[in-house]
Amino acid sequence: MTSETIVAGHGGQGVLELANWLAYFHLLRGRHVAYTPSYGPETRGGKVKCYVVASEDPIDSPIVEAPDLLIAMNLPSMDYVPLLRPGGTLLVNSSLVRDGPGRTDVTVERVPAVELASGLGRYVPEGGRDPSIAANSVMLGAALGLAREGPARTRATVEEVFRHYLTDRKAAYLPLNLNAVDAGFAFVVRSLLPA
Amino acid sequence: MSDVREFLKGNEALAYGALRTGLNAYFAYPITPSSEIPETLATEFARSTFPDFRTFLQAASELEAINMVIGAAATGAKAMTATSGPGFSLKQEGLSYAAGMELPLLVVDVNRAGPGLGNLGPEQTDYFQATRGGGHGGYPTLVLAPSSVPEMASFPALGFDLAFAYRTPVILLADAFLGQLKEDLVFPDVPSPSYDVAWAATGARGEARHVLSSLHLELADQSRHSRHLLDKRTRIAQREQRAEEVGTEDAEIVFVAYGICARLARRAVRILRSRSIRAGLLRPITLAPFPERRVRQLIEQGRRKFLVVELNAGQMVDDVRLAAGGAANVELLGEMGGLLPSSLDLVRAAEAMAR
Repeated sequence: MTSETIVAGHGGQGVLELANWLAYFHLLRGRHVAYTPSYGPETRGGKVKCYVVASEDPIDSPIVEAPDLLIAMNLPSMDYVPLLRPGGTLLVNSSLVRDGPGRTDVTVERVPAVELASGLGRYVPEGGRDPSIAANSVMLGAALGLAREGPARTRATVEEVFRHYLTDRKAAYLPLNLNAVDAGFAFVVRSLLPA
Repeated sequence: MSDVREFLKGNEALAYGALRTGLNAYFAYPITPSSEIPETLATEFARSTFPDFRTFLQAASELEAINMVIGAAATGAKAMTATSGPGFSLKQEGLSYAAGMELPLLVVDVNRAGPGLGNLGPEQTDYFQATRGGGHGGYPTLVLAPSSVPEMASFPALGFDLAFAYRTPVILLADAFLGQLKEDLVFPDVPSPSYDVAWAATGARGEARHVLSSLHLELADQSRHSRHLLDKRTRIAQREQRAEEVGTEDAEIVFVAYGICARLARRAVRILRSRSIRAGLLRPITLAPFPERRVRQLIEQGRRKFLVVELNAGQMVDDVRLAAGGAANVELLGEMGGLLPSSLDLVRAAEAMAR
C-alpha cells in the first residue's frame, strides 16, 4: 500500500514542516518514506510544493504525479487539483480558499485551519507568536484524521514526531502544535460521521 | 526493518556516510544545491563526534578547496570536497593534477541545471565533464552515480575504497534532486577501513622520501607515466563496471538511466509491465567505467531496444551507442532546465519504441 501526497502553499505557512512531519509520522509507523521539498528562492511568499510518498514496500519514484491526497494551503495550490487521482482527496485550508475543486470525482474536505489554530491562544508560550502559525499542524491533524489509523495511536506517534522536531526554542510550541493536530483531527473525523 | 532508521536529505546522508567511513579532512566551499554537505560536516566537526574527522576548513574559493584536498590526500588522509556546477568546473584543474600525482580523493558534484550559473534544479549535464575527465592531459576517471538517499550514504565508502585501490580521484555524481530528497535509511554498521598508504608523503623524520608530483620533464619519463595511467584506466574498465538491473532477463525494451532518472524508470517499468509490455532497467552505478559489457551481453541475449533517459541533451546515450556498436536501437529521452520528465513520458516513449 502506497500513499502519495502533495502539500502546497506559500512560504511562511509551514508547508515544508507539515510535509516533513507527515513523512516522519509514516516512518515512525514503519513505512518507507520519501519527501521532496521544492520551493521558490524566498523564505516567505514564494510558492512551495512538497511530495510525500509512504509505502510498506521500497519506493520506486519519490516524484508524486497523481496524488491520493492534495493538501492545499492557499489558492494557487488549487493548480494541482487536476493531478489528483480519481477518488483522491482534496484537503483544503478553507480559511484562505473559497473555491471548489471544479471536479466531481474527488472528495473535498474543507478545514478552516487558520480559525481553528487561532482559537488555541491559551497554548502559546508567554510572549510567543500568534497561534495561527499552527494552521499547518491543524492540516496535519486533518490529514491523519482522513487516514483513520485510530486516534490514540495517531496521537502517540504525532507526539513522537513533535518531540523529534520541536527542540530547543521550538519546544515551547509543542503543546500548541499538538492541540492544533487534535483540532484538525477532530474536525475531519466529525465531518466524516454520518449526519 | 531495523529500529535505527534515519530520515535524512541526500546531502546530509552523504556527509554522514563519509564520516562513518573515517573521513579525515573536508575542505569546503559551499554552493547550492550541495551546501548541506559542508553544513552537516561543520556541525559534526564542532561536536567532535567522529574522532577520525580531524580537519574541517572553509576555503576562500573552490580552487583553494580542491588544492587543500590534494595536500591532505598526499599525506594518505581520506580527504574530500563537494560542489555543484560552476564549482565543479573550477575543480577540474585540481582533478587533473591529483590524477597525475596518483592521489586518492573524493569529489562530490551535486549536478545543477544549465551552463554558467544556470539554476538550482537537477540536471545530469556534467556527465561528459565527469566521465571524460574535464581537466587537461588525459587521465583515468572513476565516477559513481547514487540513485537514492541510502546510496548517497553508502557511496562515500565505496568511493574511498576505489580511490585508494587505484590511487586516483573518484567523483560522486549526484543531482540536485537526490541532494534535497529525504528518505528513510539505516546506516550499515561497518568499521572504517584503513588503506595501504606506504606511498604517502608524511614528512616523518627518518622515513623514505616520497615525491608526489605530476611533473615529468623527460619525454620518456612522461611517456612511461602516461602509459602507466592508461594501464590503470584499462584495469579499472575491466574490473569496476557496476550496474543494477530490473527485469532485463525478458525485456523487450530496456531503460538505461541513473540517478533520479533511474527512479522514474523503475516506476515506468512497473506501469509498462502492468500493461503487458516487458520493460526492464539497466542502471549504471559506475558511469566511468561505463558498464558497456552488460550492454553487449544484453544485446547478445536478444535485447534490441534501449531507451536512455537522462537530464541532458544526450550524453550517456553516446556510451550506450558505443557499447551497442550499431547492434541495437538506442533512443534518447532527455529533459533539461531543472525539469524532470514524468513517468508517463517514459511509458509513452517506451510504448512507441516497443511497437
